[in-house]
Amino acid sequence: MNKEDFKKGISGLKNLRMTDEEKTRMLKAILSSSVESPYMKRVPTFAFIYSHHGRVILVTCLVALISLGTVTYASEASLPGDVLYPIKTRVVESVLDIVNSAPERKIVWEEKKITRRIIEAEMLAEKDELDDERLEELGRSIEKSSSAFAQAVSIMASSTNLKQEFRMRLQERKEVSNREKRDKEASEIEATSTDKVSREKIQRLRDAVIKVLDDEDKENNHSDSGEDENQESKGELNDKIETEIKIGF
Amino acid sequence: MPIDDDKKRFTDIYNRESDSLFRFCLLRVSDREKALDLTQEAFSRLWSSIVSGKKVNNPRALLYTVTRNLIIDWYRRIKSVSLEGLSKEDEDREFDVPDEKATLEIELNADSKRVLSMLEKLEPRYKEVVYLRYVSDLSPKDIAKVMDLNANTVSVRISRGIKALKRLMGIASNNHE
Repeated sequence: MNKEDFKKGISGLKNLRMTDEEKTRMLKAILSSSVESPYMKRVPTFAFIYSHHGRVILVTCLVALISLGTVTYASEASLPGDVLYPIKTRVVESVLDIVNSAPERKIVWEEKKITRRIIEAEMLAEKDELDDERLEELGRSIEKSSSAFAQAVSIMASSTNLKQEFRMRLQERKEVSNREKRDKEASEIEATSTDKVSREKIQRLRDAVIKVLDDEDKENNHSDSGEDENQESKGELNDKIETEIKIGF
Repeated sequence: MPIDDDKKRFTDIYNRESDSLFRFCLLRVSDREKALDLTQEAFSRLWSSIVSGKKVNNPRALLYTVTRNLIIDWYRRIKSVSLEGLSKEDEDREFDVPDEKATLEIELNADSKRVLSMLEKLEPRYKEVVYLRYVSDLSPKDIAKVMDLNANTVSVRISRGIKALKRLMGIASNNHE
């Protein structure tokens, strides 16, 4: 075998190839095969933690959450006039208003709110900071809660009992407060006039609650008596009809 | 669109290399359908690499490396190999044509058959480099990449393989380039 034969043999081997049809079919099959797209790369769920921005966002969120928790917790001990008091009444209590929207829970919550306002008034009185402005603010809040309480109670079947129970609790609170005051007075030689004024102010708040409940009761009694009258007239009418029917027969 | 650019790039490579790669497969497996399957598999892997954004500097070397490994895997599957058969020498032997009858079925001219039969007589380490150099037209550098060898080693093997081939063909050393 010489050099030329070798070249012919090599070129003969190089003639081994796919047909055009095979080539086209193969290319089509390859290009249409399901290849994982690089444009939709799978990103682990918490991959953002490893990025700089992700860390910044995460730390910011954590700081915000901790701050929010701290402020909310601190606001619970705030009194009217404090910086955090609006957070307590307008943010925390507003959220709790929504959470306790069912009548049975609303009764408990509104009662708790009234008690909180009274305690706040007592604490302010102790500090001798219960001025007219704060008293008015607390009074408005108590009236609002009392109305909400009375409305929720009227929805419930055993409304009278609940109101009575609440009145009793208010009375108990009053007695406890008075006892505390008496003890304090006993330790001092004489109660100052400021104490007396504060006591009167707190009493006015309690009276406001009782008044709202009484007004609500009056309205209910009035509507109940109206209903009774209606029922009576309805009964008379029925009797008349029955008598007429009997006469007719 | 990047995907269209990828397709164009891949199609160019496919048009340039598909026949050569198919030939490489066919002369080793002696089965047209199997050769087509292996060729398609090798190109599919290249396409996956391109689409997934991997940098393919030398697609030709990549295609031959993948195909070579696919052929080795195929031989391992069809042969009942013993544990000793997994040694390096046996890996070289896997480039033998498995069935001579099948080889005869491939449509080749007389010269081609003679060249092929002489190539088969070469030692495995020379046979493959000579084949890749003269039939597939791969450069010694590319062959080195495909076979995971040093380029100098490849050049030496090609040289020695050619000498051995000349002896087999009865060609005087000064009669062949």
